[in-house]
Amino acid sequence: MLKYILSKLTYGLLVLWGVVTVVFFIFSLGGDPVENLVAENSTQEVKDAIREKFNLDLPVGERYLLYLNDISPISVHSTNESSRYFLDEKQYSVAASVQVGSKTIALKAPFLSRSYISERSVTEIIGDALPGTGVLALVAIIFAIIVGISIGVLSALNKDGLVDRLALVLSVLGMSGPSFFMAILVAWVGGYLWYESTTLTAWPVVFMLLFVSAGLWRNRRTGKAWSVGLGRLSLLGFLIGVGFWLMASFLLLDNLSDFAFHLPGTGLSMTGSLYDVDIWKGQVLNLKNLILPALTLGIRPLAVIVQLTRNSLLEVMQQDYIRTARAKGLKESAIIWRHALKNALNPVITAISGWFASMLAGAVFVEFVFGWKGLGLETYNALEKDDLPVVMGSVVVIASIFVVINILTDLLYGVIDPRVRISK
Amino acid sequence: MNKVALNIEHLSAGFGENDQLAIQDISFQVDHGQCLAVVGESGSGKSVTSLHAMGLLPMPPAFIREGKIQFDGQSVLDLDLEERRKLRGKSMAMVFQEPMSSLNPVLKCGFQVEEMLSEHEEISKKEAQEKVLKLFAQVKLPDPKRAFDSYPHELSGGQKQRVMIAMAIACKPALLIADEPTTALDVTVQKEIILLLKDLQQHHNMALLFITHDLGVVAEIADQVVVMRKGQVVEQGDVQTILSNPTHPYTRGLIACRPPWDSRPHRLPTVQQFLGEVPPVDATLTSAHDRLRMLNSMQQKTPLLEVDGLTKTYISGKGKGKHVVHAIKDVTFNVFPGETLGLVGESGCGKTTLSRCLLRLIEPTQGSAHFDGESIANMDSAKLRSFRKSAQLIFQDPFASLNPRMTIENALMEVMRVHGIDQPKKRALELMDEVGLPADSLQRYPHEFSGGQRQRIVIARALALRPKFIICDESVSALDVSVQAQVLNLLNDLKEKYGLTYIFISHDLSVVRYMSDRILVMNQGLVEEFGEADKLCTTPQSAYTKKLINSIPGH
Repeated sequence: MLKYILSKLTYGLLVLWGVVTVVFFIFSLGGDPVENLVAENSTQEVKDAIREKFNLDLPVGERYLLYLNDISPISVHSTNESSRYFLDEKQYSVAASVQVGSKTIALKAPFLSRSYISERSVTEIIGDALPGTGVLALVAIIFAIIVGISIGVLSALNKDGLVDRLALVLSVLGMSGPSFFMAILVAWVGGYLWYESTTLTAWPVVFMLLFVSAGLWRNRRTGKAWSVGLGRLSLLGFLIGVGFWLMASFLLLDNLSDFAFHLPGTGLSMTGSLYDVDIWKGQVLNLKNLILPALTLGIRPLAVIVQLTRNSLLEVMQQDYIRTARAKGLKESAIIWRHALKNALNPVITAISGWFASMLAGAVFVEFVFGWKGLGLETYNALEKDDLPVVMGSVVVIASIFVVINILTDLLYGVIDPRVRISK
Repeated sequence: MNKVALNIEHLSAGFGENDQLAIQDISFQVDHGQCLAVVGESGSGKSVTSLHAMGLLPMPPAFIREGKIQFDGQSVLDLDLEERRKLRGKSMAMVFQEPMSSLNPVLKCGFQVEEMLSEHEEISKKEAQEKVLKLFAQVKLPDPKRAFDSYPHELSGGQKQRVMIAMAIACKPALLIADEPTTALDVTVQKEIILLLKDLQQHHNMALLFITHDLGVVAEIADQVVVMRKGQVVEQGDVQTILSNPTHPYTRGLIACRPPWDSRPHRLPTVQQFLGEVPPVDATLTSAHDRLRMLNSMQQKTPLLEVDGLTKTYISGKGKGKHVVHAIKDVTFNVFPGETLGLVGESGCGKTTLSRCLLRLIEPTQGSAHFDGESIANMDSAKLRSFRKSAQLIFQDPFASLNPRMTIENALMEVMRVHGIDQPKKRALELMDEVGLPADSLQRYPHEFSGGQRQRIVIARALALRPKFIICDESVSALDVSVQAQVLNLLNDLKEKYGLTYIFISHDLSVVRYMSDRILVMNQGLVEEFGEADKLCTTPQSAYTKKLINSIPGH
């Protein structure tokens, strides 16, 4: 078991190294960041001073080695104080170090260097941004899991029924809507259109209720089960209600078209972060701001989870052991939740973990649109300003998160399915 | 209490929206404390009938046209779904064919039985667990405590079936339906499970509805027999009467088409022949003397295949956890041209590893195998090519060994194209004729054929290259008995016509004895016994062979 985790970790480190290398060279070969940092008419001396400060005067290869040495937990340093390899205890958080000749070998926390712009430590910048993204992604994925699995189960149980078809339509929309578009849409509807109390025509609901009660009455007379055909009737009622309302508005029958529900407004603002800055109280936790971005971020995994759960569950329901469970006389709910779902969840877990990792990384658009202070927004700003250390730092952190989540997923399979439990 | 446990009257039922009936006008009854065997081949409707009795077929698509199903005098078809659910497990229970897939892989065996008890009885968790342990002991699981905490994949097939039986009898049901409960198991395990079921049935005075395709098993367990064919009951009655004095030609055919234990007819009679659909086969018996003479003359020639000390080991893990498994160990035998060598053993005995080593599909760890004087392991690519042409394999599962997206013609032509056979189209037509399939089969796809027909196609594919040596790996095990007889006859016809040499692998000793000149008995990778077929079967030397022979149902 331990061996398995170690081999996975080694593999993960190799992946990290590859990612760091690729990203480092892509950005180093680009423009000269110094030009962005200084005023337009600065002298060469000023520029050179800045270059030296950030090691930008060194050739790319050496800068790369220096960076690797900085982020490696075990690193080699010079004892010479003026060397760029000097182990400065003020910068690095060193756990232990050993002197070997003129070199120091140190065990330290990875050092992600400093931002070119603010000169703050990148670790600190990311440390500030990460909780925002973490909370956002976590809430979004929990929302997606709970709602997604429930809708998926409902769809599977009503295969080809109304719920199933509606879920399919919504899933296709959710999967195909690009996140920046969805973000703008959600912000517009939730934070603007529906900000204040809104009225919605009541006719579709009225017609729906009428049709359903007619159906219930019919089913009682014919002795059919109570639920037979109600789905179709309610949809029919809804559509007729919408048609009625459109007709009434078109014919300017005000007293008919004004019959409406009054929905209380959401009161959510279009932008905002986990913490608002209040002039008097300083930082204030504002959980309301979480709703719209989390909803947006959760839509796509939600759509995927719905379809995966549905298909996987349908397949499992065909298995022999489900027939055994029926032969045991178990209640349908026990069959689904205890016997079927546990078997059906494996592909769903893969999807969830994959999405969760990429949500941590890919919340860029959503964070940007909602002005949510998180890793994505920070990376976006850093990219715009050629702030290489911050970009690199984000990349390292995001890649590490991917690696860790993948290992956790592998372990989770074992918990759910004993057949893949790793022996020894 | 009513005397009759389950009473089915004039039941007609089917599937789907067209009026196709799967069963028509089925009537039979099972009394308390009695065992009724329903015998029939695939498609006879025996499973549909029992699943309807349990209420396990979702309706729709399944439907019941007419008829009555009464349990303990009460018509179950009049009950609502909730009332039927409460009957299931508590009063009527079922054991299924595939113990491998019938237990939930992600739940512990103990829990799966315990869950059944807590569903139907007012019982505390602790009491339920104790009761499960008792049940596990009752079904003779070797280590009840361990089985309780095991997941299904950690148990053997026979143990899983014991867990299924423990589950089924947990609430002391009045009726137990066992749907081919031993078909997927090894013969020796089958024997134990049948004895266990019989024992439990008498001990609990249960009504047992035993569904099977094997008349040998029927003789062991049943009091009454119902014979079904194509959704209809063809004959029913007392077990002795049916087995010794069947009146319907289908029943007579079913009994006759099993390879007899004590004699060797030239060809096996088929069910079709009894139904008057085909002319009778030449069933003259070959005398023991003639057979010995034939075997002696065969052994004058140089062996076609010589195997010496063949060993294949698999190593799992490294260092301390290293685990060496001998799939086959030190196997030595030879096969003469024109001979059929039978290879018998239960699952895991190394039969399949051996056949794969012989065809160089896997490399043996040690030992040698020579084909026609050439070492199979050291053949260069040209020789290997000609070896592949003359040695062929017929697999067990005709459903899995044909590519579903290739027409039969393409499947046949592919092999011939690879080996550069002239006029492959003409040859394909010849082959169809050879295996007794109509010529228009060539344009069709595998799913359009029945299991027996597919096995004929697989045989045609093996014959396409005019091989001299064929390994039949459990080639008739997945087939119905009546189809099995036809395919065995076909194999023998082809052997006679082309002077083929077979290695015939099977777990079924009576089939192997019928087919083979000599028999090799394998157990856990080792050769248990090797000798002339009749002698080995009449005077077995090793204890394992004796056990195998004693386990043959109805023997």
